[in-house]
Amino acid sequence: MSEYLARLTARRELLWQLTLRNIKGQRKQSILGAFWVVIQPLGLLAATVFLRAVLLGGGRGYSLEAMAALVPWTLFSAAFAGGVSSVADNAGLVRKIAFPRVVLPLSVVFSSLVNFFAAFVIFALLCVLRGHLPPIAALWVPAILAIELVFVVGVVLGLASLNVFLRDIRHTVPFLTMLLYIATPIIYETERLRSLVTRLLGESQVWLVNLNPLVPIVESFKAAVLGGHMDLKTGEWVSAAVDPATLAWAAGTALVTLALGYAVFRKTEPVFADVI
Amino acid sequence: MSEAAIRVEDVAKRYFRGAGSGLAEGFRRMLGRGRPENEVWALGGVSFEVPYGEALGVIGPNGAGKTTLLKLLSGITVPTRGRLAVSGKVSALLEVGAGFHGELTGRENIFLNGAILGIPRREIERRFDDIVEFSELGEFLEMPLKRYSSGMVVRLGFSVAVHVDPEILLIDEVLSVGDAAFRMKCYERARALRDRAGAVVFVSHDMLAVRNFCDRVIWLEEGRVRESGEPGEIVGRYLESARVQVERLILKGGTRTAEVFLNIPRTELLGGDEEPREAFRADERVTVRLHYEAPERIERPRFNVSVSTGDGPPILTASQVVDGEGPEAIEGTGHIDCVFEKGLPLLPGRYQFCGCAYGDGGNVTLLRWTTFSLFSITSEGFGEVPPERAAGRSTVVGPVQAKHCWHESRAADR
Repeated sequence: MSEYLARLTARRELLWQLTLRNIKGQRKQSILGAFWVVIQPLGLLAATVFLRAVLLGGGRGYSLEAMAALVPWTLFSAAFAGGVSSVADNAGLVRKIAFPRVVLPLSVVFSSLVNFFAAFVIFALLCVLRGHLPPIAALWVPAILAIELVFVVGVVLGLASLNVFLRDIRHTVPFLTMLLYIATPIIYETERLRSLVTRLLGESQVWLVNLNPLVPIVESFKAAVLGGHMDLKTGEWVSAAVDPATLAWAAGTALVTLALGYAVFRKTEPVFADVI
Repeated sequence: MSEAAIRVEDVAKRYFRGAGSGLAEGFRRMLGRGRPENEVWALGGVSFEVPYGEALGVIGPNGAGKTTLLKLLSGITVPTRGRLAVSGKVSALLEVGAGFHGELTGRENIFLNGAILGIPRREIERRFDDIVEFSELGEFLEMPLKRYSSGMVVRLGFSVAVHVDPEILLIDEVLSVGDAAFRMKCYERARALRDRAGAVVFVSHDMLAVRNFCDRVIWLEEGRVRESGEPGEIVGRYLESARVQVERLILKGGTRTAEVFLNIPRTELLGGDEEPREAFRADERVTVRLHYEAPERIERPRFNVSVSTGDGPPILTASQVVDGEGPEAIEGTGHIDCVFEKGLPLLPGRYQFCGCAYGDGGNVTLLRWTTFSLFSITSEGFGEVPPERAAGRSTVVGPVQAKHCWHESRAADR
């Protein structure tokens, strides 16, 4: 592993170049170019607020909370969308050139940081518009981001290598993205998910909610930057703090995901060039 | 630390043919397995060493495993069995445009390609001017790569590959895309690398280049080393075996591309003494005799005979179409002689005769271009050039020689 890391560090220039290539490549030959990184989260924000209003009532007031959830979501969905097919998409490189293949999915994850920052800027602008001052807990954001990155890298490594052998995997990406968007507390608060599980399976099964690592990640992120949420019925501000236990759970699952993804990737990497 | 730059011990590589795409097949492949009936051994146990300071040529027919070998050496894929040790910084040039991105400009691609080869940006920046100068692409640097011709892409690729100071250089066929002048430059550069105690592995079908450039040659066939040794000898024997195959092809011969059928079952090369042979002095009369079979009458047939070095276009052609002469008609069997009365003005080396045939004064193709004979020009009879100086230089200085002399004049001393 340390030897592989050394080889990877030797190719950090390649990682950087590929990341740039991903970012630039997205823009070339499209009319709106760089604006897409802003249009996408804005569109998703509108859809989220709309769904919220249709399903649960309530109005534009939700946009700040929705955007808080969409910031970590954007990082995941952008990396997930490009990362899973990243190895197969670069068949030409893999077949003809020797380099640590892990730079391919990693570069996609890194380039999706651009999407993350775009979403973050939108969130910051909304904060200014709405006069919201993020609490001191916002200092958790780098930690939450790090945990999410670990998780995303794990997912993308594992699925990118499986996708080399079973191209069906990439077709599940848009579908899984939609399911996860619904299953993650973006349109609704995590509390609603918890009470649903309690109602259906009983109080003791509430932990199931956290099996989707995006749940504790998004929940913690919202708590960190908002410090609470508006109660739908009473219209009152319910304060919420970042729960270290939730975050620890998120970190644990993220590390397990990374270990699994890395293991699968390393196991299958030597034959990529033969199969791709 | 051993002396060898590359050490290959009983290396074998198995592939699985791309049949079946089911779930089970996918998982099998993930584990590097497959159905036994789909297995193909691209290499079946190859051993050799390349010491530092040596250029190794790898020759063999298509499908012999040459490219697979380079892929293993460069680390793109791993051997199924056997041991492989490559010690040194490797730079591999396996395909035109590998590691380039069409949307990026030439300049951006130099950095991308350098990064792919593992070279820090700062080092590329330091060598940037050398790379550009070597590639001779200065004016196209800001153009996206997708607008480059394949020859230009090769120039760029080779320029980067040789300027990153590799200790081991692996070159596949790619160079054949470049023009002759650039190829020469590349050989010079690769030779310089070898002389600095680097190692070069060179895969090519260009036998003259292999013979001129390599110190040793291995001949691969069906995934095994058939022979290895001194370049001239191995290349000679390889061409010999290729000739046997070509002759078999010709005997099966005759393509029915027109209404009429023409077959050339046999060709002969005759020396100045009218005796068949394969080696000629440069000043000796050479007769190329094409025996034909024409079951039906062929109006105004025209024959072309060309000489080539075995790679690239012919270097000279005798053409009845161009000369505007030839028989009115042929029928039955017979032969046509093409006589080079004053010999072939070629430097000593090995060459090929190829030919084609047309009907109706050149309007109908009867036989497509086919290589039919290999021959060599010996070092005797070459006028002013001493044979030992001419030998083996046919690709370096150009194979065709014209009578010439040199004059010198200098300004009067002040």
